Amino acid sequence: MITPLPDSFRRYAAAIAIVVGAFFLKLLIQEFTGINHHPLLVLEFAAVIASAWVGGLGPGILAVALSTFLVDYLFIPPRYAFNGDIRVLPWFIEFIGCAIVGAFLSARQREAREALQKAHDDLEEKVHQRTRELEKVNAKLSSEAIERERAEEALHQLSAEHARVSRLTTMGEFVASISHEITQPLASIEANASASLRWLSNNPSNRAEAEAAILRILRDGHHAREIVEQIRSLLRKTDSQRRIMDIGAAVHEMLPLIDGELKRRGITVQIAMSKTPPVMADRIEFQQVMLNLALNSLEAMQTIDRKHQLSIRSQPAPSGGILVMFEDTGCGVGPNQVDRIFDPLFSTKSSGMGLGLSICRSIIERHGGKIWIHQSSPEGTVIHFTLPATAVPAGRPGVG
Amino acid sequence: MEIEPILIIIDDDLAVREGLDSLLRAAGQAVVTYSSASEFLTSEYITVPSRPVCILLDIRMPGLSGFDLQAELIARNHKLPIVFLTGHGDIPMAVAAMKKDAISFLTKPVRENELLEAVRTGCEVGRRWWLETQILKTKQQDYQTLTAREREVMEEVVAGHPNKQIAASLGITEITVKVHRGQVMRKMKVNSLAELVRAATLLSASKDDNLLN
Repeated sequence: MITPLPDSFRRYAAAIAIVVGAFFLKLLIQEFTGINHHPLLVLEFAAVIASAWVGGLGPGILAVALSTFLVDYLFIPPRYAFNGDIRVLPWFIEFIGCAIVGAFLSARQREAREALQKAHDDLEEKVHQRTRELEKVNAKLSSEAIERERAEEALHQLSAEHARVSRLTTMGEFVASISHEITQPLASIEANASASLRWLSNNPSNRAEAEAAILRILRDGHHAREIVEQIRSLLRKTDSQRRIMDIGAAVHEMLPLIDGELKRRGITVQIAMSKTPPVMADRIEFQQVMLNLALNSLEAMQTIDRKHQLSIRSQPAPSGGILVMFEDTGCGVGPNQVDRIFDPLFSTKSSGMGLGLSICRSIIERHGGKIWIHQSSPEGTVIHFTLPATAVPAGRPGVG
Repeated sequence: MEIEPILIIIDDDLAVREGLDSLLRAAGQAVVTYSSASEFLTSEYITVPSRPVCILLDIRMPGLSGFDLQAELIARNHKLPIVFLTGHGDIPMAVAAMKKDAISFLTKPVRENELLEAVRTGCEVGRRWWLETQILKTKQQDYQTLTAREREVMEEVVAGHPNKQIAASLGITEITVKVHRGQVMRKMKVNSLAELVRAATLLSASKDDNLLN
């Protein structure tokens, strides 16, 4: 590979070549036409201007010097020698002066043209650069969009997981009560089974007592199975399945889970579900909301200073859909806590994880409804929530 | 005066109550059930106790809990045997119950044999405590019939002092001491000095209890 010659060298070489070329051209013209050499000096001027044009001021000056030398040496008598003929001196100076001015002007012209060209080139470069930058930004934006989509996907998955974990948490907080609900019928079943065996093996046997005990076994077994099914349906990891649902039935299905706890605390329950438009909801999620709200109410009603009541009512919402009201006679929520009570990880209970009500809110909002504290005082709390009557756009599949 | 102990089942859960009632009756046990502790506290077994009892007691109940009832009975000086039967018991609860003289601490669901054994023990203890209470009551009644002088003589006798010394310290003749002594033995329905000492110990123990309460 040949190393390219320096630019300045090429420019000077070009100047020399042009001057020498012009010189030989002049010789040729003289030779064939016999024209006096003076008019042909115009060729030398042309060579100087061309050199300055091609190479700039430096090569222009070189061209001047070179052509001066050639003119002096070859054209000014005596030929082929430098001499000091005084008569041709003004003419000679004139030539040099014109040549220098010509070279100077030509070089300037050349520089201006180059500057223009450069400005043009710069502009084009800038446009290219901007285009590239825009392309980069565009690529970044689209990758961000993809990233965002992924994050949203992850968020949905997380929220499904959150819903499941929250179900487990709800159950965890409630497990003592639930285990009691199971052990009671189990204890009863065992006792009745032993009793019926004894009634039959006693002498004389007592068939009527044995049958009565066996009937109680059936009754308690059925009761225990109902409770187990309730728990399983709450713990199951399911996709959100929204169907037309009867709110009243859902409330009644939830009651056996808290029945024992209600009795032990001497809390009476009043349920008044009025005729409401059907709603689209996920039955299990909805039960979870009901259970969470009921659990909160129960915990708020631990004081024994008065008779406690939990009241669950529903009515058509003014905005369409249904309005469900949970009213307890518990200790209430402090005024400065009302705004934060639905926030995740906020709890007024020492043992609470602060998930219950935030889960309720996220479930209700996913269903297109709203949940709020209607009022709260030391005499009790009223929580309202709404669900829209018509089908809301179904959630993404996989969001539980 | 040998009356069969009756088992008192106190549980707020109807199903459990019915099951236990049937099982224990099938096992030949006399049973009565209550759905709350306060209901039992107003029953005849507390107001006019007429036969030995054993209590089969749930802990978590609306109103008075099982532990509340235990404390209340102690406060009222009703010495009744208690078998606890709970759905969710833990060790601290069991320890607390046993420290206050519970017969047993069972968790639901309970094995039949375990339950019957505990109930049997409870009823046995109930019978013994009942008899002790009855004897104490009779002796207290007997003691009430003694005159002031006879009580003085009885005190000296159970302290182991000879008649001569008793006569000297009370400032009466030895003959009179012998007469009083005979009266004490007759009124307290005892045949020997040893029996009289036992009766005196029983009485003074119940007196101490009364002082404590």
